[in-house]
This record gives sequence, C-alpha cells and structure tokens, in this order.
Amino acid sequence: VTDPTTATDPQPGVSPQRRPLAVTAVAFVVMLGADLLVGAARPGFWPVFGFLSCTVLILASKALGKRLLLRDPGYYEPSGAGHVDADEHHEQDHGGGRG
Amino acid sequence: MLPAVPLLLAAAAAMVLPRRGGQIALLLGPLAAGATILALPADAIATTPFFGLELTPLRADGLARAFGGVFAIAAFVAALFGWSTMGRTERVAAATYAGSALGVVFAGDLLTLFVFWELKAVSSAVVIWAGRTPRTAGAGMRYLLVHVAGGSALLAGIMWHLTATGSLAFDLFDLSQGASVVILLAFAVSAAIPPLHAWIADAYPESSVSGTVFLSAFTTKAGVYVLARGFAGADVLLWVGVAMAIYGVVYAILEDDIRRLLAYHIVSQVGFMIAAVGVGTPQAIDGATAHAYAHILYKGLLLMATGAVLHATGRSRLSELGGLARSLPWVGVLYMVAALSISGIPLFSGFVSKELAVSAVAADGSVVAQYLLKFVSVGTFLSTALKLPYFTWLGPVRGTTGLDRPLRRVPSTMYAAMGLAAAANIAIGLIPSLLYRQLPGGAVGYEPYSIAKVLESAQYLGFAGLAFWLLLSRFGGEPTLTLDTDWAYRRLPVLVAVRATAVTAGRALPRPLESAARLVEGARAPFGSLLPRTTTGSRPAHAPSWLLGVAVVGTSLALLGLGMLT
Repeated sequence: VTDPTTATDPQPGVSPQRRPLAVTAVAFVVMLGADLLVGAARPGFWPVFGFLSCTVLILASKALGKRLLLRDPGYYEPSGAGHVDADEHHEQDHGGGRG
Repeated sequence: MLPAVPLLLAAAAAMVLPRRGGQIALLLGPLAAGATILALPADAIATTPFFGLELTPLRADGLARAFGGVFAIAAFVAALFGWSTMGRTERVAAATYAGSALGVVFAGDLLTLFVFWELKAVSSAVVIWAGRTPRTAGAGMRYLLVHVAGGSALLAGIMWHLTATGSLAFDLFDLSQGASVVILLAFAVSAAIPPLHAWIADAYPESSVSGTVFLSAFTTKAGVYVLARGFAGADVLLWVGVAMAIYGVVYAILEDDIRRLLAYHIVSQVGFMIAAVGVGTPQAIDGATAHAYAHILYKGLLLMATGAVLHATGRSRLSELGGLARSLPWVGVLYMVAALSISGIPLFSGFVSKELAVSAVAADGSVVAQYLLKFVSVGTFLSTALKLPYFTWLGPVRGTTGLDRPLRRVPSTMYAAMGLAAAANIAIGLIPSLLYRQLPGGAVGYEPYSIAKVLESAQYLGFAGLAFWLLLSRFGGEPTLTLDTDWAYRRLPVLVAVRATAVTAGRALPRPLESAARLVEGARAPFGSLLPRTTTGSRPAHAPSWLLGVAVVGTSLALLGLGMLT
C-alpha cells in the first residue's frame, strides 16, 4: 500500500499537494506498529475505517447535496426578499489546502 | 415540592421584577430546582386524587433524577450565558420552558405529563419568537404548529390508552396496542426523529443566541427521556436511532450556517440515544442517559461558542466567516473543548458517554449498528471538530466583504457560562464516575478507559482528520440552503396553490413552477395587506395558517372517531 516515494518525512522537497498523502502514509505505518505492540485484534483496521469513512461521508454527502438537496439561500423567502448575494454556483477560491 | 416549581416561580419573578431582579431570579431558579432534586428522598413519589383519577405529579427515581439534574444545570448555564442579552419576554419564557421540562421528567402519570408537555411546547415557541427577527416569526409559528400537532396526538393517544387500559400510569407501553403507537409518534416529534424532525433545523438557528442554548437542552432530551421511560427495548427504535444518526450527520456536513449545522448534530446525537433506548438493557438505558447528560453539556457549549461568534460578528455562515483566531481566540478554545467532547475524543465527556451507549448496542443489539454508529462518529468529528473550526477560526476570511465593522465585545458572563460548561465536560472526561454515579443503573461493570479503546478512537478519528486534510479543497464557499422534510409544509402548499390558481383561471401552468409561485405571491398582495404585519413589514407566511387548519380539523376528527369507538 505504501508508495516508497511518498512514505518519506514531509520535507520542504515534498510538494504541498503530496504532503497530506505523505503524512497519512507515515502515520499509518506508526499506527500499525502501535497495534502490533499492544496486540490489537485487527492491526490497521481502525485507521483504514476512519480514513475510508471520512472520504465516503464527504464525497457521498457532497454528491447528494449537489444532485438533490442544495438550493439558493433565498429559496423559502417570499418573492423579492431573497438573499442578495445568492447567485448560484458563486465561484470563490478560498485557498484551501495551503497550510 | 415539585422540582418544576422554583423555575415557574422564577418565571413569575422575571415577569414582575425590574431587569436586574429578573436576571437574578433566572439564576436562582435553576439552583433552587437543583437543590430540590438533591433534597428529594430516593425513589420519592407523591400522589393526589383528581376527579376520581389518581395522579402522580412527582416520581423521582434514578432515570428522572439524572435528566432532572442535568436540566437544572443547563438552565443555570444558559441563564448565565444570556444574562446581558435576554429581554423580559425571553427570560419569562425560558424559565417557564425549563420548569415545564422538569415537570415532564418528574411526571409519574400521563395527565401531568401532558400538561407540562403542552406548557413546554408553548413556552419554547415564545423563546423562539423572543429572537425578534422577521425570520423567527415564521420559524416559531411552524415550530409551534408541529408541536401542537404532536401534543394533540399525545392527548389522543393518552385518551385511547386510558379507555383501553383504565390506567393513567406512565410506565412501559405495549406496542401491540394502537394507543401506544400514537403516543410513540407524539414522542418521536419531540425527539426530532426524521421525518418529524425538520422543526429543529428550521427554528433553533433562528432563535436568539441564548434562546438556542435553552432550546438545545430540553425538548429533544425530554423526548429521549419519555422514550426511555415508555418504549425501552422497542426493537424498532434501534434502527430508527441508527438512521437518524446517519441522517443528521449527512445534513450537518452539507450545512453552511454554523448553528443549523449544530442543530443537525442534535438529530444525529439523539440518534445514538434512541438506538440505545431501542436496545433497552440496563446498560443501554444507562448509555442513553449518560449520552443525553453529556450531550446537554457539550451541545450547550457548542451553541454558546457559535452564539458568541454570531454576537460578535453578526455572522453565522461558514461562507462568510474565517480568521477569528486573532480576534476571538478564547471562544475558539472553548468551542474546541465541546467539539472534542461531541466527537468522543478520550479525556472529554462524549467519550465516556458515547462509548457506553455504543458498547451496549454492540453487546445486546447489533454489531452492524455498532459499526454504523462509529461511522457517524467520524462524520461528527469531521464537521464539528474540523470543518466548522477550520472555516471559522483558522481559514482565510471569506465572503464578498471582509469583517468591515469592529467586533462587538463578548460579555464576561458569556465567557463565564462557557467556562463552566467546558469545565464540566473536561471533569466528566477525566473522572467518569462523576457522571456514572448519577445514572439509573450506575453503569456497573463498565470501564471506559482501556489502551485498546483509546487507541481505537485515536486511530479512526485521526485518520478521518487526514482524509479531511486531503479533501479540504472539496469544501466550497457558496452560501446554500439544504432541502429537508419541512419542504412538505413550507413549499408544497405554495406549489399546490399555484397549480389550483392556474387551473381555475384557465391558464396554462407557467414553467418552471418555481417562478409561478412568485406570481401568486404578488397576486395575493392586496389580501396580504390585511394581515397583521411583523416588525419589518413582511407578511406572515400563508402556509402555516393552512397547516394549522388541517391540524386542528384532523385532530378534531381523530378525537371524534375515538369518542365514537368508546
């Protein structure tokens, strides 16, 4: 599972995009070691469970929202009284991921 | 003395006394109620004859004491939080609301239960209206209508139950009886079980900053209490609880408004309690009670911290917040105590309560349900401990305009209330026996802290955090509204009206239907001008009055039918 190129410590040389992946890989190895150390029943199960659950929750709820549930904030307002800056798909770069 | 009495007296005092007197009465009321509960002898019971029926206005067993105790604490903390922001109406309504919630918890018969139940519904609607914004008017009315319908169902169920069994005792119901099913549905409204839950996300976030803190403590937890009392071990509740835990967390992940996001987490967390109630073993009831107890403490703190953000900035949408770490650092720290508690991080209150409930589900319910609840815990952590604080305190300032006005000062009484709640959450996390010894069964034989349990939690929550980091760019910045089941009474009647108007006028239905609804709004304006106006001059919504008619007529017909049966 661990790619040797990403399993190194996050150095300034690792590109910012790959840093989370590198940290995840290192953390997984550490946790696997901890599991083996305390004699856990299923070593490595809970890290994988947490990672997959979170990914599934984010992707599934975003997809559900986009296809079915999300509306303009003024949806229930009487006509004309809607949210002023409620243009749909109002694009905004908030620079997430640079940390 | 009934534990409800001190709070009802405090409400009366807040009504007649000047402002300072009202503020003090609102702090003394919960303290006196708490002292009353502590002073009651073990398993105290008081009965009184009433028109040939025997009523039990007071039953102070372990279950009632645990809920009553935390209700008194919550009322004190919320009153302290709202010390400087609450007006007279809100103080009177909030004290009445807290008192009637205590009345519900200590009611030993169904008639007493019903009286306090209705008082609770009406007073909590007034708490919502006390927010005094154009939105609270409509939201409070929809809230009241839903709860009036729930209360009517409860009354119908109680009358049916009385004629069928001849008893008004409030004990375990037999779900093979029709009356019990009606009562279960009425309780489900109060516990915010989907699809009967939409009032919570509709009304709570529109209330004042202090009103939301009061609301989060009582209505849903009174719902959990009556379910634990009347329907413990009802198998259906296990899966209902799991479903609502998932439902709430998915909506919370989608939500943009921070207080609405937290309202959906109430649905999700109450799901854990309902699932445990469905299992119904002594350990499961302990788990449900413990989680309700801890939930009141950490959810109050979450809503106080987000309320302080709203108070200071005037904003409550993630798409308009950011960068508050410099200006409101301590609010952020106090928020994180609550966020780590709700997420079930070891050493915080949620860990010792949630794990007790989930382990009871695993032991005597279903292993699948256990994994689904852990899955929900990941979502809870994701949205309360990662997404909300990141975009409020750490992330860059968002929205079209920056925070252009200076922040309003957060009063020291708000910090004091948040500090108290934070201390309680940490104390329970560090010393679980503080909580466990208040439970009806004392959580006998359960040890929350072991290396395996702590490691497991650290692993699945830690890796959820890493997944969030990887997918951070997926969280967009658009202001949005999420459709929920309140669509059925907020939008559907309008759409039906549009269709009816178009058909009677012989016109083709305009497309899309949405834009046509606006035409009808315009056509109704002359009629609308006759209706009372709210403070900003907008007309009250038409849909609620339509629904009120349906609810009243439907209830009358149901009661008439019951009368004929007997």
